[in-house]
Amino acid sequence: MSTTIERLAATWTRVAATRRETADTVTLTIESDQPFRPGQFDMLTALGVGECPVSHSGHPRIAGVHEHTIRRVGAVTNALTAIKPGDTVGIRGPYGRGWPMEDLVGSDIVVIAGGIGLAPLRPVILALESDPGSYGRAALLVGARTPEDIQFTSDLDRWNASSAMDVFVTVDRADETWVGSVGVVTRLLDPAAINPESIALLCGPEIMMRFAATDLLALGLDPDRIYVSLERNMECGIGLCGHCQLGPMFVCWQGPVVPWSVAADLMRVPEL
Amino acid sequence: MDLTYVVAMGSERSLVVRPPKLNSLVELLTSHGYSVVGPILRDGVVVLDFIEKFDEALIGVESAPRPGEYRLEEHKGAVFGGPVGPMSMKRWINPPNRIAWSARPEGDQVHVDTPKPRGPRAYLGIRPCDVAARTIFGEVWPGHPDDLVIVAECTSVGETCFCSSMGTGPAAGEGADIVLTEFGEGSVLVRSRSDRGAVLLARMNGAAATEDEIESARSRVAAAAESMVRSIDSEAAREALASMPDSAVWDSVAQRCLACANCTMVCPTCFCTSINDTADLDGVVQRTIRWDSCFTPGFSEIHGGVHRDSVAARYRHWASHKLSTWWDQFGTAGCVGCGRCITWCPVGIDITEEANRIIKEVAHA
Repeated sequence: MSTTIERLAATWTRVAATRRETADTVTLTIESDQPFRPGQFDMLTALGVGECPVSHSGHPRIAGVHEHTIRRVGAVTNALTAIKPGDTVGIRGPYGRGWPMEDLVGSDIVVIAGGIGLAPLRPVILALESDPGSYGRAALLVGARTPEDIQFTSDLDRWNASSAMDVFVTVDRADETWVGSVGVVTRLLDPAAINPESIALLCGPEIMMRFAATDLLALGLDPDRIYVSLERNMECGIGLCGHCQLGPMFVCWQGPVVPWSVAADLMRVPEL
Repeated sequence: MDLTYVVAMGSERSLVVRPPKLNSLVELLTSHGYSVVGPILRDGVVVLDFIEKFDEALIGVESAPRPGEYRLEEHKGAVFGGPVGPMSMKRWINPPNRIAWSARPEGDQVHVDTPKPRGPRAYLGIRPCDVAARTIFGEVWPGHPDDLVIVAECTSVGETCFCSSMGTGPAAGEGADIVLTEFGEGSVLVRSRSDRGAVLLARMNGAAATEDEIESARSRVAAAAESMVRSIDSEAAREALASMPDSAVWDSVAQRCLACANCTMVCPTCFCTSINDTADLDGVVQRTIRWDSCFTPGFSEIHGGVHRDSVAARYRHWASHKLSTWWDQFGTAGCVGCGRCITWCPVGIDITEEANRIIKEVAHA
């Protein structure tokens, strides 16, 4: 038999810890020595329920563990977010192309995240935090639906305190406790503060990324230096199942991270 | 009816084989360790299945495919069932429902069983379009490295065939080990195309093919090519389909398309699958890989919705993949011109007609 089917074999490994981020989101710390690049994803299996793609959300240079942040949206993510420390999960990966880490060195960086879109960007920010001297200034713009949906709040507080990073958070709908910005994340873009030579990293709902990219282009950023992380139905992660096709692209291995120069035409066509 | 094998080995050595049945070839393959998959007649349809002997019911009949219609008709001299039936090698290379692994928890460990690998197969009497399709499909699902392919060139064509324009038939191209050609009153010319094929043919007894016989077979294949009515300009289609996402053609197809997925099931290159985990009451979990289709609404579904909701978008995705984006992905068209999608479409939607409409639209734009 071909080795094709063998590439779907998962490794079974232990969940070392779990951490609740929001009401519907949990971060699993999984024992694994497999190196990965920020922006890549693994396929996680809850035994007997199913498999789904989840981005790496942990530090890329901490050996021995992976972090995966999962929002509960269906049967498999329901099971994965209910996992307890000591339980076993299936894991295979990493898959896909990640963020352009080499290009970030020495460059100013604009990170724009919507909702759970902050999770695939977190490894980049953790890498920046560990090695601030290697990068220029970083602006982190975060949007969430409500104050309760803001992910990684303790990270955001720490990053906000860091001199290498400016952190801005906005919500679509405020509650009585919220004293920050209200509105879409693109409203946080401050033309005066954005260096047109920056590299921008975007992850969130497609509509958010389209508007953000359009605004960044207007601020003079190069479409080859604006990166988006695309989301499609990825069932295999290895260009086999066909579900994640977006025009000519298999998002699972030619993405999920692509420059805007590639994504723009594909995202313009409805229902592509 | 008696069959004659005429075996031509390269240009130097050729043999005419008697006995009168193709069974000696099947036996030869079996004795070399191959399981043999070949055409058989079942429920009035030519399909592919494991065979231990050649199905004599095929002699003198052939598939007569038309848009939205398939019939079996009498055809003197037919040996391998004429133009393609609904089933291609895809059915046997990657079966419709297949177990990737089964697993059961054992304490805090998981015990995993994987299916036994299968042995080599010989695919016998496969049409040239399907041999081309195997190469294309093999980019995703390669099959067994020792699989053997015995192609049967086409000496008659169906109404839905357009292999000539896609460059895959009716003459045998690359990818076959042995080439068979029906000619005369049920005679078959046998030629080797690979070293493995030559080794096998050396063990077949038979008489030499004459120059006349080889020419007769060749001219029948050439005549078949001439008689083909449908065509797609593959290069033009590649460019046109990539540039016309907003064409009104997609909506007009959607008014007829039932999104039944037949076209993708019978397509010899459509490789899409879904991966499903199921658990039984004993706690045994199976991961299966099942054929899926871009025509189902769930195919492009992620949390929050379906990316290709309209039937127009689903047909556009499929046709564009076959004729255009496949080139970007794999360096070839994803269509071999077998015509199955036209034949087995319940309403006879014709990819050649729709592609040609788009090409015309671009030309007039």
